[in-house]
Amino acid sequence: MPNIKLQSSDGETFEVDVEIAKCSVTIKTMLEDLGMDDEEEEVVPLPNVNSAILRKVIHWATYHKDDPPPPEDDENKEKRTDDISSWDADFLKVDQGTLFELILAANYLDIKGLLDVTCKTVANMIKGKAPEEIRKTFNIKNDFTASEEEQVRKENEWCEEK
Amino acid sequence: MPNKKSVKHRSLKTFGDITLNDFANSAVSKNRPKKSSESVTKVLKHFQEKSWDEKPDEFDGQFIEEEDEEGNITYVLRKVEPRRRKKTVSNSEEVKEVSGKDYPIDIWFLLSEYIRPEDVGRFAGICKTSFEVVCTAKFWFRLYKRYYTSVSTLPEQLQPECLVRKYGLRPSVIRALYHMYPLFVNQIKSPQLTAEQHPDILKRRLCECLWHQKHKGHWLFYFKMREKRDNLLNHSYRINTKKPDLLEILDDVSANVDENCCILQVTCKDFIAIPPVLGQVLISVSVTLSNGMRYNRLQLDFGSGISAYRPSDSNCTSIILDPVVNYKVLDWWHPQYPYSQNIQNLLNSD
Repeated sequence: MPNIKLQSSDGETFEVDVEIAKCSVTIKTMLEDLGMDDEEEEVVPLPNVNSAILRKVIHWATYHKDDPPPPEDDENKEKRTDDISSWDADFLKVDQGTLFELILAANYLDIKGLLDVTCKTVANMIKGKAPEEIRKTFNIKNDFTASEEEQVRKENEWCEEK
Repeated sequence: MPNKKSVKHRSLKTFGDITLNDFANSAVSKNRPKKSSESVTKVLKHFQEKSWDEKPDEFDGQFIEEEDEEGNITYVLRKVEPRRRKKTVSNSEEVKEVSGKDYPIDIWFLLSEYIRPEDVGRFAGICKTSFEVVCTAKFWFRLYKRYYTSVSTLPEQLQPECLVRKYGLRPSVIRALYHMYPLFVNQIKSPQLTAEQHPDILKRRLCECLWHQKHKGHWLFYFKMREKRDNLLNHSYRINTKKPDLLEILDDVSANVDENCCILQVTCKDFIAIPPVLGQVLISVSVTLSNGMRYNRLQLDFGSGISAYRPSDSNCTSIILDPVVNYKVLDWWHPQYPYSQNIQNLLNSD
């Protein structure tokens, strides 16, 4: 199996099977557009992904390499968030910072399956929680003043559960 | 050695009483705006250009009860200005929680695709970036498309063919969700909700509009009540001081003339002449049983200025609706809330 070298933002190089790397539409397009041969020892730089996250992404892509291509998004359909496989659920038992980094990496590398499952995991963690709890869970900075926060709450009374 | 302040104080004692006129025309002015006819004219012009409901409330403050030595009670209007609180208070409000991460807007856009309608408020309240995403037309178009189902009750102006403009998109999508999204539809139907919506919640709201109509042998009285709220967050152009141009207005996704409004709909057996209470504040509400014990009697007391703070004031205007068959408090997103585009539908559907 031909391999390809992927270089993370912090300079670490990962040698991966080309087919696994091609799970990422960004890498696939790059290889096709640049006409890189499978035998060439080129290194693909990924300046937006650090080594810890890239390792996780490769792990996920290796497990899902034989999956059929994900179906096209139907924007007219409600997105289910309860269809996460048990392997993915275990894989995403990581700290919340890593989860957000994985979303950004999946978006940058254009790996639809990973993006989908990471977003669903975060969406599930947001469900039913108060903003304060969400901020605490994901260590998000609260940049609202108390009165602004109150305004947001009042404006969204329409969706408050009664 | 006496300090500078006390010296100054002593020197003032040598003069007689200073009249308001003396002060206003004094050549020495400190810490006060310059009195010029031009600025006065400007302010007056600014007020004249606005309609009554756009002008700031003359009594934008609270009446404080004060009792003198002889036991006479007087009410003093004290203006409440939250921004002029002690510096330490405002500082603590501004920088409430500095720790934590700032995530890029891309994350919030990606996540917004998975947010259920009932979680929109929670999502918007996480941080300013998530709030910014909720203020975009893209968010509301996507939310509408994801939850659109063909239902017979959906008014024409909330159908996909009509929901193409950005102006007022948010209130339209919210209203549509109350026709299409099962959780919201069931909430409206729930008897618990109607029990909770006692007209008492309308106290302190301003009566902005009232009208009545005859419908199936009964008289329906409508009171449009607006709650005064400050707009601190930037949804679009609205917080800017400059006058928006037409294109900016047309892009206002959150534009909603009914924001902060509720309608009290009272169904009466007979016609009752309602005194004019437009622009007045609802002071008190009482719901009791009517004489025949079969219907309700609804008393609404309205007042303006000082009487709005004194329920016992003889200057307040009382409206007594009796016998009342039914009353409802309708939030602006309620399918039965009458607004310009659905009034005809409501009349036909009943």
